[in-house]
Amino acid sequence: MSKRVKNILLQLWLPVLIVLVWWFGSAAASSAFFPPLSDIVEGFRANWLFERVPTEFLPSVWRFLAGFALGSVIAVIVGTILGQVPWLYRSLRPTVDFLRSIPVTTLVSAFIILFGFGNFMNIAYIAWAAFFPVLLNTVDGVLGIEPTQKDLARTYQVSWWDRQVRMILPAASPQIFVGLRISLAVALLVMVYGEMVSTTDGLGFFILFAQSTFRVVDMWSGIILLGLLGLFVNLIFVAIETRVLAWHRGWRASVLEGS
Amino acid sequence: MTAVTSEQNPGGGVVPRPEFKNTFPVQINTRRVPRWVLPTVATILILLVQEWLTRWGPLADSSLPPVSVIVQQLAVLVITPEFWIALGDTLQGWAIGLIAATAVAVPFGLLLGTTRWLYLSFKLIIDFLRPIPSIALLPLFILILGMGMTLKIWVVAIGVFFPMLFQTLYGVQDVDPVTRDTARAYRITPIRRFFIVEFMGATPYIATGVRLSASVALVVSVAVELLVSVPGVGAEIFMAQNAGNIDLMYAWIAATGLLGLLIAFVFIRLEKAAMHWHASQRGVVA
Repeated sequence: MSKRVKNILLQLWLPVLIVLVWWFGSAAASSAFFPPLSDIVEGFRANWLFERVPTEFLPSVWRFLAGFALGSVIAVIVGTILGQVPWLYRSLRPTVDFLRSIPVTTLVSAFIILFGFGNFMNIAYIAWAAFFPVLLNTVDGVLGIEPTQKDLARTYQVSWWDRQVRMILPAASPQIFVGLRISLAVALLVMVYGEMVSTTDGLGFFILFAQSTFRVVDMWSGIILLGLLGLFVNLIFVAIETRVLAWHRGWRASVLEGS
Repeated sequence: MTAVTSEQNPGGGVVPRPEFKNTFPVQINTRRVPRWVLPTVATILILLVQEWLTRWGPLADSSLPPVSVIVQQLAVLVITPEFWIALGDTLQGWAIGLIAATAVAVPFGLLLGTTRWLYLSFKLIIDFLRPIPSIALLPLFILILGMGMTLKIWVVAIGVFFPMLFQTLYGVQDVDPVTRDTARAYRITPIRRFFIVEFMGATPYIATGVRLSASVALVVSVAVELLVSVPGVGAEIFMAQNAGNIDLMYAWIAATGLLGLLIAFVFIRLEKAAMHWHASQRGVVA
């Protein structure tokens, strides 16, 4: 058996086993909370191919993408500036530290009262959550740039804009991506949570509402869709990271996955 | 100013790096003005501007109360027993969830990190489960556990489990192969090797994981309280909001901010104290 095939088999045997046990175990038992997996699959098909996609799935995705993009773009811009103006960064540091220490889930009430119910509140809330990890990592990335690199750009009289876009941003990008990766997880959590608290559509609302009305199959199908969404978003993120950071030596060298 | 780039972080895990490094410890500069003056003056200025904006400025009609009102409310709140009971409820779920998840995730992570076939077997399952926000599992856990402290502990534990597992995995991957080979060359028994090479090698990452998880656990525990009215700070905030007592709501939010700050500070100190022997804490990064 070639090493590659062996690898694939190793990765597959346990997931397959679990699905099989779940399938046959749940078909035999009659637990109210663990409906037969075949029912869940059927429910998943009925809900998400594609009956409820425009009403529940797309609003969630839109909020998530808009909030994440808004928060991280602002964070990268502010972080790039703060990283180059150390006195300003030091001045704002206590305020920033306090604001980011507030557990983001307590702020949902404040956002509802400030912005009312609706898409805008959710997007602003997700943007807030995505903002801080990216900000701090961007500042760190900019502060970590080799002074020689900065001096060189100045010596060659590179214009301010070119310096920002061609030197500072690329040099800080590995650190920025570390921040983006953290933000992605936080944004997803806040998306689900915000929808549970404040909206009448979206995945978060759907699974909580399904639970409270004892539509257990619907709840399961929603949770599974959320898992797939998270997986998909992560895959896209890794693909973009690989492309953007391709120049960055050794950025991904996993000992365990290398074969 | 030494920032650690992901170059030293091949697995993509979060690099053990103490935060707050620019504000603590306070250093006296060679210049005439001490270092703490600028942040202090700036922060007071920001507070004054906030006060002006919300009292007389363009935000006067908004729901945002001036800082002085929030502080006043907080001062009244802090002397009530309800405050400390709610805080205790939140911290109880936070602590038990955090400890339980760490106790499971670290050994499991060490095992996966050192056993390749086991790692590959669990890889797809972990990859699928990890991006599901723990809050999304809340409805399922409500069905199984009902509403109460147990629910809070479980959801917190789930939220903490994956970050801890991954930090441990990255930590084991980051162990210097030379150390491993040296231990083998000295014929140190496998069990001893597991503890002194793999576990001790991964501790900086584990310590960072605990520090990050402490904030995640607070976020999740408040979320559960707010969503299903389990006693705690989250439930209090929700009640204040529903009663239309916005000043009180902001006082609670400010209190959680201070709590978050305190937890972050304590865990940074703990990490420093526990990891003082490790190179990442010596402050000399090439």
